[in-house]
Amino acid sequence: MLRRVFVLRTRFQFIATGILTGFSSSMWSMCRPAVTKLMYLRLIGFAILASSALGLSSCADKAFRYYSDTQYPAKEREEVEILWSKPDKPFTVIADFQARRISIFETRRGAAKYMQSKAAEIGADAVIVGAYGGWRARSDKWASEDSHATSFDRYTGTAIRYRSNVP
Amino acid sequence: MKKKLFGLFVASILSVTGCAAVHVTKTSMGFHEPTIPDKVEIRMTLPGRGFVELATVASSNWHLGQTAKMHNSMRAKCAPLGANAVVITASGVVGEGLSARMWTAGMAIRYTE
Repeated sequence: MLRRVFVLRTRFQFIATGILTGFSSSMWSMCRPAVTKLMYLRLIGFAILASSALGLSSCADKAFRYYSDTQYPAKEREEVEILWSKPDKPFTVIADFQARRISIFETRRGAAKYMQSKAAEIGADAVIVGAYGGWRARSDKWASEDSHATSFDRYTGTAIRYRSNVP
Repeated sequence: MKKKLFGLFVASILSVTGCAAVHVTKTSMGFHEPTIPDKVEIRMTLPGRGFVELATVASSNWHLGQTAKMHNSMRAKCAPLGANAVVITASGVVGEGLSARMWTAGMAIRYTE
């Protein structure tokens, strides 16, 4: 029984490691006696990772709209400001981006960088990032109470150019 | 080990079934400052004053009888968009008996006057 539990645990660990590390060689050298089985388990882990990555990326919903009559030269990503609220300076909206499932490890920061890179492609001065939707706990009673305030279903980016930069 | 795994499985199932989901798809141009969730109106009819549509919104996986909570979920998730109201355009029930769940869909709007 104990042996079976140990085997199950080891298999679980190696599959998890395979998911996390793919084909990394460190685990390989640690477990040389069971090379064939290990390789098999790693392959399973890698296959799960690859299929989930493919599955999620194929479901990505990215949709963009461009409003300006003028085409602006592209910028470096770092030149575009990331904002989470309206700036004080007057501005013109040149495009809107929205996306869900940008990557399998989606974070607010990662989404902001993605929006920043899209805004840089069209020569925006800044991008106002928004995160909307997500989970809602059935136990939440107040409208302003949101136990899942950090879960989001959709990210948006509003690409802007400051009025001083609009010809 | 098996017990732990089973516990983990049950916990993950509970964590998912204890939640509803709100999907928001922006339809408007630009960005609006967030509003206060408690002040977002839930409407079944269009308002008499001017407004702009901000987004489509859908809330699902609610138990029957949790209509008010479902409305609050829309208030909470549409306020960050800058919505003053959500106009409900469709609702329904999926499944039967204990597995029956409510859903509702509508549009988030912002008053212009």
